Amino acid sequence: MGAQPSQKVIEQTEAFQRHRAELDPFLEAHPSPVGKVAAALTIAALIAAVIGSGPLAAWAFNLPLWLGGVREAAVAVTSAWDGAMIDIGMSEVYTFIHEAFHDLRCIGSESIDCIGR
Amino acid sequence: MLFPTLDFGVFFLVVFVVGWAVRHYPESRKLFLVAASYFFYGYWDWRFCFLLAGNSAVNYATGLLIEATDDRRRRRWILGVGVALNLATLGFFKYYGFFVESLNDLMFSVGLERELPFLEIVLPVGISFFTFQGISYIVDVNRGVIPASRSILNVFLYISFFPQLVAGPIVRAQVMMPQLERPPDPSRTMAAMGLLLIIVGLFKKVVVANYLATEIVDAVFFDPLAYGPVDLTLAIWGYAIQIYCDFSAYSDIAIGVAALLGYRFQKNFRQPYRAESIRELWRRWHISLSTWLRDYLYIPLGGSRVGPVRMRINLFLTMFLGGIWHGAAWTYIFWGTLHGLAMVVESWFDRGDRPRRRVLWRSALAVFFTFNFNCLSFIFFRSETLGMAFDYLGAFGNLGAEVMFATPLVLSLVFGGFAVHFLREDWLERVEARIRHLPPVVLGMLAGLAVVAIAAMGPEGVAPFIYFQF
Repeated sequence: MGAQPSQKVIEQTEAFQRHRAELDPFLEAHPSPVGKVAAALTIAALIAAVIGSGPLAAWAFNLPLWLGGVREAAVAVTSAWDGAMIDIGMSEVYTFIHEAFHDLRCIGSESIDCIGR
Repeated sequence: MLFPTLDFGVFFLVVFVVGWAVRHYPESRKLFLVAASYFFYGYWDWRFCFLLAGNSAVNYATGLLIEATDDRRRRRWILGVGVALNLATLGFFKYYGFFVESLNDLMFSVGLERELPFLEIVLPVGISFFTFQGISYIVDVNRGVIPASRSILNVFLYISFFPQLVAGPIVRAQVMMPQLERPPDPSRTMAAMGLLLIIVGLFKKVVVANYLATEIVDAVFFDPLAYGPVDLTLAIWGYAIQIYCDFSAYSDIAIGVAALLGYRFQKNFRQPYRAESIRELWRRWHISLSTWLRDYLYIPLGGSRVGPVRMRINLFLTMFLGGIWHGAAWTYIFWGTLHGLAMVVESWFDRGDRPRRRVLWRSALAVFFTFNFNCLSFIFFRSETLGMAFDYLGAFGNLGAEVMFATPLVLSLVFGGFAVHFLREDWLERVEARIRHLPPVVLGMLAGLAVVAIAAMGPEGVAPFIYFQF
């Protein structure tokens, strides 16, 4: 069952489809196999975990308490990881970017957190 | 769960891995994505998952009932009930408090002391977005544009799919439902563009939108009378860039995340501040809402196929209701009214599609006026009350006030944010063309470094997206 669309609806749908092609952000994009995406995401996560080990440890610490053992394990693993990254100096990259940007932010600013910068 | 947080990062990695691992079982995959979407939504308040499920069930049943009959009157009647149920839910959660408060004020002003009961109702995140998606589904079934889905999972996933659930884009049924009928192809994932959109979105939200909010906009709108014309102008330009970066960031990340899971959404923004008229602005800004309003409100009202007066009334009504869609407050109504009036005025000077010689100075002037008219309307959109909006306008008379916020960071975010609107429209596609052939290791390294750099540049904590409140 089901009614046939009217001429007006057909015209409107065709216009929508033309418009849709215009608005497709992937019209010119090149597809990749999902394996390639998975590899890229793994590497990205690893890089983020190496340089951003401090925020990662803070995130684990702020996990909800009801997670119990999962939270404790996450805190233990991320803290040990963060310690290791501090030892080899990787966490300084994050601090350097953070400080550099905040120095830039404070130029000409009268914000309280800019005093002394 | 906010996109630019580690909570979401971990959630997405799990959904990505499990989602593709079960790709050979399409129904299980959809069931998993529905469960993940409800977990995502329930992260704010689990009670609203029942509302979402109820909305999906009503629209699923309405679609089937519409298709089960050939009687036009009966179909329209079923559609009317379905649309009314959607709008009643939206109206109750979003407008009940505003309606009662306004009515009580009115009764008080005419000397009636009886007050209607006021209920403190929490607004479910994203209700305006999933309500509009539900309406789009049943109207399209009624029009015969798409068949009613036999699969309840498809309808549940269409309405609750987490990337677009809480702040759009409003994905139309005729775009999404056909994609749910067949499993996504794992050999055709839009990886490079998806990652690029996510990174661009993170930068816009975490760095540009957040700093503009904390460095100037929030302070000036909190107490506009304390500042002079330079800060007021910078703050409203800053807000225009902030809301664009905030909202388009959400859309970019949503489109990117959906792409990595194998689904395609449409663009929601196309460099809106290069528009030379308000009409053009609405073809570039929140496109999924403006096209929804056009197809499900303006055209059913008669659109431009009626006489010139009726057409202008339709135009005004559409923009006015678009204002109310944003929120239950006089400030949004005023904002919608301003845009409606501007569209009506523009329609008097409309030359249709007749070609016009492009003159640079005229285009520049048109962009300047359109942008600043939009900024003027944003004063009402951003202010807490109409009174504060008029205070803001009145404060432009504080000519002797000291300039407080014109720091290099604020100036570069405001003018840089405006300047990117004049890059080539396909600049992102050109970047994608350069990076898509990179080996996955290099692509992953670049993405990882970009994400860490953005996180390091951002302020402590991330403010919710502005459009969550709608």
